[in-house]
Amino acid sequence: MTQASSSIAADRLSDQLWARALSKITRGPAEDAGRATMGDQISTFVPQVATSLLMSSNPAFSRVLYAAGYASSKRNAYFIMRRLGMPSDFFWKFDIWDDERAFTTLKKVMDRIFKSLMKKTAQGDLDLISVDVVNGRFVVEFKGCAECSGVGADRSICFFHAGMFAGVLGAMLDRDLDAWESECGGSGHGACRFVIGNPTDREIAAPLDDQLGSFTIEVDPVGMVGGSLERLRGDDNSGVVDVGYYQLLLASSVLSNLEIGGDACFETGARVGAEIIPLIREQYEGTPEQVIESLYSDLRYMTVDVIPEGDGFTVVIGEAPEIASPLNQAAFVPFIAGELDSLLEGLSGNAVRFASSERDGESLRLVFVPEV
Amino acid sequence: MTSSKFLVLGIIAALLIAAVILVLPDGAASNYAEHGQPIFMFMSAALALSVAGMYRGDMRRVFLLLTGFLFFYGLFNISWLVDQAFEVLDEQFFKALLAYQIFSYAFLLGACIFILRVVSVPSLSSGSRIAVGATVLFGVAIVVNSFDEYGKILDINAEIAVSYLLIRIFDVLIMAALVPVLAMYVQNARSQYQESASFAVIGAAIIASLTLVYAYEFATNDSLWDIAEEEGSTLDFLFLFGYLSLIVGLLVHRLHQVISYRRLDGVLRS
Repeated sequence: MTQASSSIAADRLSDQLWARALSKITRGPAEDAGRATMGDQISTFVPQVATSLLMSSNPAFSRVLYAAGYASSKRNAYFIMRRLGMPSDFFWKFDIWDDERAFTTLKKVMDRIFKSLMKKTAQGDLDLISVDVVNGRFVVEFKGCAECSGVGADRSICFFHAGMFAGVLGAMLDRDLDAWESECGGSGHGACRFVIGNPTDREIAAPLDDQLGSFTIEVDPVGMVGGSLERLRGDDNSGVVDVGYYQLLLASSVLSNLEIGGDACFETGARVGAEIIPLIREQYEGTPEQVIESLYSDLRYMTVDVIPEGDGFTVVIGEAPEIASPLNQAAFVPFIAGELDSLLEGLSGNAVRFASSERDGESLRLVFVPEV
Repeated sequence: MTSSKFLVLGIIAALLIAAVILVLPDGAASNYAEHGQPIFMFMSAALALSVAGMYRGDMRRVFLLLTGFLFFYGLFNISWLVDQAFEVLDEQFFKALLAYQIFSYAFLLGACIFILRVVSVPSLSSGSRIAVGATVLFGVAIVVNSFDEYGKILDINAEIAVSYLLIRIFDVLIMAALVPVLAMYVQNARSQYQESASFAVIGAAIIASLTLVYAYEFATNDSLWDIAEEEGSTLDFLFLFGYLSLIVGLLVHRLHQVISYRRLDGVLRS
């Protein structure tokens, strides 16, 4: 597949995911993720560790995330508005509205559609904080952000949501906007805060360029998975996000660059797997197969059936977001393959390597052979 | 319900409310016209003022100037006030009328200038040019049509005759200024995939309010003096319809967001 055609396919997937999310807030039957055992939610650890590790290994990935969030949300927010019957001139001459009317109207529509959508997909609690019509600037707050909560970063890292909110507002007001994150929940603030405005506005362009340009992040997968498991077991339901969010991240930022980014995803998965082995040894008991199966089940990530075959393994995975509808990845799930590669090797003590993957009905069969 | 549907229903309602005059007995019809016209104009003025509060800058100026125009035009529609002025001013009445017309049209002209600042359309489309051309022809016809009457008045009183002609010329000029502005607005709205029809209705209703009498003059071949004597006539119905349409246009413009937002409740879960 060429880069262009894979990009179109990725756009189509992200559009389907937005449509599924929309069905959760509109009247009529809501589409589910088709995961009978795992349900519609997944531990926030899964998307968080994938994106933050990809960013730590490739600083340019923050730009990919930002652009992906912006493009998919701008395109889809526009269609959502039309589909819900909002006329295209709803915000007619918004740039000459008085501030109070601008704030009240924008907040009302944003709350009714996009706040509900974020809440239903457990991505966070979105709030419009201020509107400065004259300078074309907006501030939104996002509490409990699925992109960063529990990450423990030392800087702002919510690039996907920054792009997403710029895209959503841009679609509502029919203009191009950019956003930068002035406060991040992941770096100790109570909530994330995004300043959104005109791309040519120095107050927007300079900080955004600064955030996207010089990126370094220290990631602690052990702390992240530990914290996530703790939250999930605490039954407060705070460490989960709609599986569609993770699928959207994959579809809009990874799948279109899979040929280039596949190896990086595999390495990222392998690194996570290797780093969390001591923690899961501490938290789980049983054979390597049982430990792996329990871990993924607890993270609400996927169903796993690990079958030892000599010194190697065959792993049958089901309901993984990567292979669930609409992504339906047939053969290549680099992040899972990398992670399993490290986990199997670390927990069993057998040196194995990922050899192949094959679609088997609704499942995916991954084969790990002994390292020669 | 969409704003467009609301607008259509509103115009149908305006048509029905105005049409009441056609079935009322003479005295009641004349009362209806006499009181209805200024009341509807003042209601329009109040609505325009409320719409002005929705905007800032040039758009606010547009609606503030429109408020001024509608208010003074409303005053002009109070017949006892005009009769009083006629008694007091006697022969100077037509001069005063001309001055009043220039004064109130200045508000409308100002509104047009500010609309042009808001709506940035570099040139008129061919459709708009045809509309403007037709307006100019209609304007010329209105002026030419008055020459006979002008000649008759000239024999009696030159000052009144000149005022009579100038009033027409100013009506034609303001119409000629409004039509291209409205055409540019519609072009701008289309180019931006917008459908703010309420604004177009407001503009069309104002143009209609100013020119209906001349169209009626053409259609019936009556002189303005005869027309002015008629009360509860088809012309009154048309004026009432024009003023009520103006109210509907302003109301829908004012409530556009409220009407559209209500649609969300119909499709979204509570």
